Amino acid sequence: MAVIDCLGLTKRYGAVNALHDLDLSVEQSEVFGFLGPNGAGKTTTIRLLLGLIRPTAGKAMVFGLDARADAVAIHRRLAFVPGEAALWPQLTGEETLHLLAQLHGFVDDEYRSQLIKRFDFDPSKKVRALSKGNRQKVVLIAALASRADLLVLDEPTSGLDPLMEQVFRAEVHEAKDRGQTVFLSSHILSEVEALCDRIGILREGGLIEVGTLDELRHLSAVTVDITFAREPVDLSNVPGVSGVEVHGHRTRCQVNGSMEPLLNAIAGAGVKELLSREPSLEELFLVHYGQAAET
Amino acid sequence: MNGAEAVVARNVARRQRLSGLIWGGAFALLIVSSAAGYSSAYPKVSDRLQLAESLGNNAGVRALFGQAAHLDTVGGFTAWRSTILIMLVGGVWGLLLATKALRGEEDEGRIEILFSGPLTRMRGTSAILVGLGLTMLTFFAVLAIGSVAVGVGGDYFSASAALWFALCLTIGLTVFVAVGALASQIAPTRRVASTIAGVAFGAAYVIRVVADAGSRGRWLSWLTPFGWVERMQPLTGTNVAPLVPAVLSIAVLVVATLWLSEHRDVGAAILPDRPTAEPRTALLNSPAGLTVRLWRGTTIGWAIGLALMGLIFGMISKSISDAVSQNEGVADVFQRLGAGQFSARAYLGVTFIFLSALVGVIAANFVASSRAEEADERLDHIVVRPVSRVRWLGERVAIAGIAILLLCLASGIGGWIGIVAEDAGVGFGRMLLAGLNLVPPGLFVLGIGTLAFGLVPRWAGPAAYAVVAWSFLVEFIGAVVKANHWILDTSLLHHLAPVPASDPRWWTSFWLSLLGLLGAAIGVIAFHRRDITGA
Repeated sequence: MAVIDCLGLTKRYGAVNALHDLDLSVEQSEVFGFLGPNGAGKTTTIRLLLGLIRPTAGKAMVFGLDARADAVAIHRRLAFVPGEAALWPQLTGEETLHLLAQLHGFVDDEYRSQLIKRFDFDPSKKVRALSKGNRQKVVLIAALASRADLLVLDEPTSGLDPLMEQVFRAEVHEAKDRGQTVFLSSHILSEVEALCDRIGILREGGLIEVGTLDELRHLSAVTVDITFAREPVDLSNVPGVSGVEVHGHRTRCQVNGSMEPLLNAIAGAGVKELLSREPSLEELFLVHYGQAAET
Repeated sequence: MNGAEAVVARNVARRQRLSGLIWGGAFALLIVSSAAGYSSAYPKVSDRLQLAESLGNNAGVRALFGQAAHLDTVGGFTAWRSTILIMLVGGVWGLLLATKALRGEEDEGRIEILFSGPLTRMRGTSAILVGLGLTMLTFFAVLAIGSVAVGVGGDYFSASAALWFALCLTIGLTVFVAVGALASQIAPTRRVASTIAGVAFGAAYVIRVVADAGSRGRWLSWLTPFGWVERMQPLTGTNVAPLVPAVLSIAVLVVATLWLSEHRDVGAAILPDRPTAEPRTALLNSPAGLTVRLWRGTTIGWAIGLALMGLIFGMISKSISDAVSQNEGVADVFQRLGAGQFSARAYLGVTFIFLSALVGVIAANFVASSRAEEADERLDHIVVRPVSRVRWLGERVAIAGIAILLLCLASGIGGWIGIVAEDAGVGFGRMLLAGLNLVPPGLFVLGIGTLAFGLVPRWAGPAAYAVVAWSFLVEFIGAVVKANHWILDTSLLHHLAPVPASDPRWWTSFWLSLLGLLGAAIGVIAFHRRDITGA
């Protein structure tokens, strides 16, 4: 049984389609990355999964239960980290952690003390005296220390410095090893690349790609840089090759599918150097959104 | 002023404009009701002289409402009746206005955006002060238009006298705005800034009491804005000399504010902040515990305030009734209100009806606080944990209901202590009942507000405040002009019996409470079904 199951999930605000017909499932102990620019519907999806809002159509199931109707039962096994931690300014960090643990009903005390140390957090300070990054640590520690079966993280590392980002990644790995499931919404692509088993890319309220990073890469072009010893051959008519740029003796192009036509075309043309590079997630991402901008 | 400063000043003025309009309008209304009420209750010169004689020479009345000069004229009575009230309520408004615009913005971190632009700290602060000045100008305009209209329209006092009155009040209140501005530089948080400014305000009030009550300490009235406004003799004369200390103190406070804002770090303060605290987790084990923890401070503050008001009303009830009962017109008015013969009881009955408006404001405050938890997304942390929404809101309504009950009891008990001190002859049980009588309208406001919270969250606070404001206005004006009873019936206050002068209207109280509970119940169910929506 999938931990998260969305079927035709749709949310409209008046005429605005915040989320349209989303089908998505996340398996146990999977780290699922949820990508998309601002306003694509990431937070709407998460609020539907948390039962904070109800879908206009479709269904959001968590642990096989209805996200809205069985919210309380689901929340016993779930922890959430929002991107903007609005907390009670008059409470101290320690008081806030105590409160959130009591509300959740379970906390791994020893693990929490470790987390406080690892995140280098001072719990005696009042929330109003904390920086954005430090407030973010409060909600991260509270969520991780609950050892919940499902962690729903909505841009959880906003405001954290690179060192703390590393700590966060280590904790997510540990959670995965323990069999916890992680749903990570982010637009820090390196974070998603480093942590996630599978990735879903959201655009304008609809899911446009889902798969492992390798699967996504196969769908996309490979960048090839060729340096010739003499004048470069014209590659613009080779099947599968696109985006040819020529700078002196160097040619850069994109290759979709098989490399063979390209290799045939340049055979015996005096190739000095040939570099091929798989696209980074950032390039994949930009390709998808570049298409969106053109259409 | 360059472009950026003008933008900031206009922005501050625009955000506070409504508040300036509302308070200017409310105070203008108070002036209307005083002038109209006086001339209808005391049409005869002999009555007026008698009132001037009895109230003007009463030290207790002077201590509470200030020097009572020329009570035999509409202008004298209106100035006496409204000045202290406007200075008290308006002074608190002014303090909070300044601490909100200055320290409040700094707390929220918005001021940093401002100062990272082309403005220096001093120029940014001066731009905000100009914005506050514009707000006071709006306030003055509304108050002046209102007073001139009343004075000339009713032939009570001249247009120039009315303008002078509005000017005296506005200058006096501006001193408190400046106090709030300076406190914002000294204190590390908005709350502390408001407290410091409030203490200064309280001290000024105490000095005024001493200055007005005794015969020896008259010179003390040169020390406070209350005394300056009094000495400017609004509506009875024109004394410009007190303008000197008033304007001078505004100037000094503003210069000190600007100097401090330049010589401290953004976000820092003169007083040390206590950013750390020992954890106190006794209450933080449930949503209800959290609510108690968050509301405790303000509720205790309200309780002290209500008890003190009850105490003051209790203490003066006897002298007021002694002074006024000789006048047939006033006695008639009270009889019409159902208070029977004018007595200390009758006076208390009528003042407690108006206290219920304050209880309504507090109830609306609780509703607005629930909406703020949701709008600021703090509620998310609670409802993403295994806490049902019905429980969260239901418990909040219950806690607010209990708080309202305790606050009303505090006002009754305060009143009783005041009565005992003055031997006005109203029993403890009677005063407790007077306090309890205020609970049902409070519950009604709480219920309507909760209903709005469930159905149209953005309107939760405004709807609850609107019920109170409407009730207050209708009752306030209705008492002076003889309004249609259908309109009067829409006022919550109109349904209240003037306890302790008469018995509570049990059935009315029952229906008000039941409607409140019903509204709250529907609100809770609607909240359970609707989406959680941020700001």
